[in-house]
Amino acid sequence: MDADPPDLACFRLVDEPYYTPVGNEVALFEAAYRAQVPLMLKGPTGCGKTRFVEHMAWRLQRPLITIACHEDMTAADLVGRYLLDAQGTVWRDGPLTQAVRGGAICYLDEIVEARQDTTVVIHPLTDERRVLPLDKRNEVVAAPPGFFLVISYNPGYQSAVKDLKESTKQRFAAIDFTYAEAAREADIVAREAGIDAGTAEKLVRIAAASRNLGHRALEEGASTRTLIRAGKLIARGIAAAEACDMAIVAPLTDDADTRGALRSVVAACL
Amino acid sequence: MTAAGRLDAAGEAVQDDAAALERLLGRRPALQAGFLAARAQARRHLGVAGLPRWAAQVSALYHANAGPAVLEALWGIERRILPGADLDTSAALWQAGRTLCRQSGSRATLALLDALAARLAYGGDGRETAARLAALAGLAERAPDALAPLASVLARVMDELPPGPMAQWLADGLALYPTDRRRRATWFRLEDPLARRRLADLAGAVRFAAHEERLKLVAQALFGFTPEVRVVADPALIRPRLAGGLLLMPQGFPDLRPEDAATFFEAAVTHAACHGAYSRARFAIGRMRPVQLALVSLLEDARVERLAARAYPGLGRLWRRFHTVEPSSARTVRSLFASLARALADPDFHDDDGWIAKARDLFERAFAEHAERQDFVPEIARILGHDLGQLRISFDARAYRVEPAYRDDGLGLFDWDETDPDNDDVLELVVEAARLRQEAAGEAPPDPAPAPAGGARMKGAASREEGTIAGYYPEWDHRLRTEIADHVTVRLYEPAAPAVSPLAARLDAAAPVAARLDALMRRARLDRPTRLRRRLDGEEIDLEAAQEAMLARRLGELPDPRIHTLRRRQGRDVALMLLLDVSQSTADPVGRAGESVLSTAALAVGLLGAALDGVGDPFAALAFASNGREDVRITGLKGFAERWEAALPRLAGLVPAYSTRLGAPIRHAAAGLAPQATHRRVLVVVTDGEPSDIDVEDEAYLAEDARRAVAGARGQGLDVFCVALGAAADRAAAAIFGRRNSFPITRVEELPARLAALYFQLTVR
Repeated sequence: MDADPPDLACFRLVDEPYYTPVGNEVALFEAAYRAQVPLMLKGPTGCGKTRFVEHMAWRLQRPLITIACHEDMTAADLVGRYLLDAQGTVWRDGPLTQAVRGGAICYLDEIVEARQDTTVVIHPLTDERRVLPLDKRNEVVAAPPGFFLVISYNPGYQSAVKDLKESTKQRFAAIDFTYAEAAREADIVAREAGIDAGTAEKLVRIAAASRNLGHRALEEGASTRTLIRAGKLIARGIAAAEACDMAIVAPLTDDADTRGALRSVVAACL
Repeated sequence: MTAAGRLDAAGEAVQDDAAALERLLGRRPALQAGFLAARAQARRHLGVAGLPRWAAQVSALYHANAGPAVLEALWGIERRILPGADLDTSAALWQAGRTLCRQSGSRATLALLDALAARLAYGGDGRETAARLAALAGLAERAPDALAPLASVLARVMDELPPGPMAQWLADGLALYPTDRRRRATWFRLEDPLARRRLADLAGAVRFAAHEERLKLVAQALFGFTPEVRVVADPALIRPRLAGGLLLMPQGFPDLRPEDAATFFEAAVTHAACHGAYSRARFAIGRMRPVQLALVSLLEDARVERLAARAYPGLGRLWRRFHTVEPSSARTVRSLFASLARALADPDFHDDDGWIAKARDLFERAFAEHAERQDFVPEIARILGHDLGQLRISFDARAYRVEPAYRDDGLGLFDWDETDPDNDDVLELVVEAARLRQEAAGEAPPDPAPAPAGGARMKGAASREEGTIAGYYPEWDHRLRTEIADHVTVRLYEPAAPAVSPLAARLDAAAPVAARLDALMRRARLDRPTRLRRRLDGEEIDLEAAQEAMLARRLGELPDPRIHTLRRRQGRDVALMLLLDVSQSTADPVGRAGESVLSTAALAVGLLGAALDGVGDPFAALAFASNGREDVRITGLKGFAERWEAALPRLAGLVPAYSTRLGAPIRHAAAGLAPQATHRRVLVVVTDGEPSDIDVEDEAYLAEDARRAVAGARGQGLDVFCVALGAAADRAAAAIFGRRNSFPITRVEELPARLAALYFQLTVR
């Protein structure tokens, strides 16, 4: 297919999404894209996986179709289905089919949330075949070179109930994400939230302390995203302690002791 | 009826009393002067109308054979309160005095009155004093023997408790030891640790326990490790102390108000954690004098706090709140040291003292140069200590208290093993440091090895040769209706050397039972609802299927009629924790030759475990026994993450011993089970008897505690069941777990097969 079908134009990113690389993940992504090796982005919540994909889509000049996976999602939700209208039945492509036809980057966010029998529909797209069979339409859509499949996967949520099938996992190359180191994270927070560097540093320190509690009192520590949220509130004139309480402490935990501890940590860092 | 009315009714008699009293006392010149003065005062404050009643009370006390000293003491008390007191208060005072005298004699009464008077200020309406005396009189009526022991500590009790709680504390002592006079006396002498603890509780004393969890998390978050804190009830310990890998926390801080407790303990724990993070090595003592030791500790405190405050400015603010000393011209060690501590913590603090200025200057320069190196601290301490000597300011190591109170006493910062033998001055400190370290070892785990030099003083693992401490758990005292915090020590023990046992063979032999169990398990539907699609009937339309059906009709095909969805519980989402009693009584023989209660229970657990393993449910098992409250013995049989095969040899290696203290193991097991992320979490206790232990005489105590523990576990969302082996166990279990939740097995041989019943029960709920 030479050009995008017109309806994918709205999936193109015009402005550069802000992203500062942590390592050489940009080069890795580009290499995987050129080699048509599907990618899995691993990492804790709110560390910048989605932003990275957006950035790369902009960089590679591809439309980006993001699908947030959930438990009730069916294969038809991904692939498409016949709909009824006054004239008769109409086939409507699902987002995955749209991405394949249009040669877009398709990003399946939190893929473990989808049921395992749903995720197998991506299998033919992830090996050498690079096709998407639409059995109801009796059609096989071949993916153009521009099509690229990216999934995100949070290892922290893994449990016996929710995990990727081994056969799914092994179709992907993986890039590990962590939070940026303190100085860079402070830069990111300052820039995204529009606050001064000093305040951003303090927020990052709070996050670092809260991450010490990960896997103990907390599932995960405060993410870069929560810091940006807190920073945005601060930029709106909310007092730093209140902003942290609202954006970091309260969302992170309901346990009274852990809350108390986090409040003390906030007070210590500010 | 008013006081006046009563007075009228008994007017005659009272008049007679007063006159008779005056005649009586007239014959005793020693008393007469006091009586006349007291009567004059009574007339002035109670009025002439009140006088006869007052005289009647005095007369009654006199006739109760109170000695002159008791009368004098009461008059003395009255003198202080009468200006504000009314007639009823005065009457209550005398009445209580009379009861005290009658029940426990004038000597004990006098001791109590003296203690009371010593704490009595002039003024007030006297109600408080009357209430206290009434409480004492109430005690005298029920346990006259308790008053003599109480007299020695009454002043302290009154200092800590207002009248209401004091009455409660007295009543608690009676409730706890209704018949045992000896132990009652230890309670009222405050020798019973429980009495002290209860006193502290009633005083609203700021207990560390309420803050412990939070502060451990704070330390973990800020410094990356969790300090081990141990509360020590030793009056000699008045400041926190670092001892080996522990932070010893005094049980009470006398001047600490409850509203300040949260910040105070936070300051104390974060300060101690700073030492853990930044005091890399212990200081050598060498020939240092006590004053220099105190200075080293003060300067090191300032150094580590500075370092921490660089990263966490809020901590600096937190600590500064406790520096309240103001500059003063008094050149005592106390004021100089407190000022120096403040000067180093607070740059805005001004003190014109030359010694402090010099100390500040030396410290600032050294800190600016190499803050991370702690060896500049003894150097400065040496200079400053020498200066103090020049100023002829003497240092009394015994009277010295580290200020502010949140800071540790500094003894843990030194390497006491390497004291210079000629250095006699610090000998006393060495002894003190060693004493509490040992005491901590007696109550709590010591550091197994001397702390390594690498700043690991706070991080030492808590262990004891007999078993690793897994935690301290509260126990419910049903007589006090209160939970005694950290009362029980739970220790983990390795299972005995895994014997090669016939368990595997016996498991094979029991295959039919296993198969039945397995079938039951699979039928158990216990988890959260899921959506079933494409059903013939159901609560909702399955849009996907409906769409296809419509489509098929349009195309002229036969539509699939299954267009509904259904929400059903299906599949399994349950975690099980098995708690197996291995007390001595489980050695009793059962049925066939060679079988004991324990071996039968082990077989049952083996079967159940195999079934659960097949189904894939998360499953853990613990064995428990107890040897007093300091040693509740838990043996891990299988952890949630372990393979079932690993547990089999441990199960076979179980040896029956000790007693059954049920509450703490339930709390421990619940703590392990609660974090499991399953829809249902089931705790099953397999026990063969009623709770008992060597250090408990009250039969109901452990059962009540276990009941409380079960309620606590249910409060955490756990399902708690009991499999009771034998009739006695069943009676006890029904009371503890509830009739519906205990499964009696009278013939223990049936246990392996009957464990299935428990699972059947779970399925129909």
